[in-house]
Amino acid sequence: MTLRLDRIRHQFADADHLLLDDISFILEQGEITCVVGPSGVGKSTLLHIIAGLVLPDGGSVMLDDIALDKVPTHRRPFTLLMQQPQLFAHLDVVDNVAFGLRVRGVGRKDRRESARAWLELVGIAHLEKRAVVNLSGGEQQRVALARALAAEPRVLLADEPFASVDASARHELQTLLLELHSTLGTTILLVTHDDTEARRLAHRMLEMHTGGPVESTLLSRQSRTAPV
Amino acid sequence: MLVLGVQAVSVRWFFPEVIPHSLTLQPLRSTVTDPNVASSFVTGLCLSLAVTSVAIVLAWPAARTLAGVGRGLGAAVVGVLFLPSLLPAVGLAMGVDVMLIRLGLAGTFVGVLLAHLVPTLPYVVAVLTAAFARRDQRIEAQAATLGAGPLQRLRLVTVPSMRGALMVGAALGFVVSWSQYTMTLLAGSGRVVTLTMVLFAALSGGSPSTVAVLSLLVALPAGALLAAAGRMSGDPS
Repeated sequence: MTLRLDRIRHQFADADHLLLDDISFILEQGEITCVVGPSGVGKSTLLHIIAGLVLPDGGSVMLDDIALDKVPTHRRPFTLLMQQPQLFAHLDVVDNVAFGLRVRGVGRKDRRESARAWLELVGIAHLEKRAVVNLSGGEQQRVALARALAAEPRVLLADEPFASVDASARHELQTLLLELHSTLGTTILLVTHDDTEARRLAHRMLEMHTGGPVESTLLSRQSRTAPV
Repeated sequence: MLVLGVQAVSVRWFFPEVIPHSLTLQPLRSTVTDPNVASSFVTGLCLSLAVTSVAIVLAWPAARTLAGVGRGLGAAVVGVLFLPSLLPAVGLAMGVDVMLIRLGLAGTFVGVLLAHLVPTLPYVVAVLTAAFARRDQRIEAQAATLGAGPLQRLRLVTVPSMRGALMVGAALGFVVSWSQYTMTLLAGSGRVVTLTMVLFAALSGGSPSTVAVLSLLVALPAGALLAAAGRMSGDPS
């Protein structure tokens, strides 16, 4: 699997300058790639373009050399983990996690069984029947993570997924993400403004600057902070 | 409601008597089994349910759009929708009737349905616009990234997350349509008879017990729907 961004350009209608100007990079399969850079540089917009939620003014998102320009969001093999968990309040925990399987036509029994396995993996199997509005921020983000992974994406896009929880929960979630990655090997593209988080999680860092090119840095095992 | 309930089963209960002389189910039985009452109840129920359904279908995209254009413009458009309601009921109904005559729909079920939409639609649009404005629109984007197509998003995410507002909008729409008298009388040309019209006719000459039974029958579906809407709007989902 090769995800390649080819000369992406984008400017919002109400802005007076290009937000993304000629952005190109290749995402390495099985790696965690962190996108870092100052606020307003277009990191989240870049993820939204990959997910198909925002159409770029120019350039292409290519998956295995096939342009996804005309592929709608729901047909792209990516899931997006947002800063706010965006859980479906009318569904309980297990049905939230099973959502991606439900829309693919997987039967109720099978999808709930699969969802329970994912809840086990993220350490909240005991919460399966709870209403999501009654969960803590950290628990909600675990549900969102399980839901995103249960949809079996080829790339997990994560937009500052741990920014809305406290420091302790953030650390636990980072550890969980590393553990899940070592088990599953999912390709992850994660946006963060937290340099420490990026150095802890990333195999590769992409640094964005206003209107400038993306700088890619491959982190050696030594330069990554070891999981605690 | 309690007084109406007692009046419905009492015989010759007049001022200044505090309690009725005797109670009987006869007025209740004769009113409920009256074929005119039964048919007007069914006609009114079908009409109000149809008006409510059409109002929701029309209000949904309008409310969604109005919620996205900003609070000021959205409120202004909803305000314009309410303008006809500021007119005297007879004046508004006559204007609508003239239009229905031109369209050849006066005195028909469809004509009355269209006429009822004039006072009903603004309430439904207002309720749904407020609900759409309050909710986080990114929830649909989230569902799309999980593989849900447009119809799946509508069925599995948008409608369930708007359930409370839909119930409140439907209840309000139903009550406004169900209580229309002047509009139904003029637009229906006396050929579309609802329970509210039978009640108004009974008010000028019917026995107090019959009026009480009819009043309870008029209050029943609207009260049940409002109670259900109240319960669902308090639901966290």
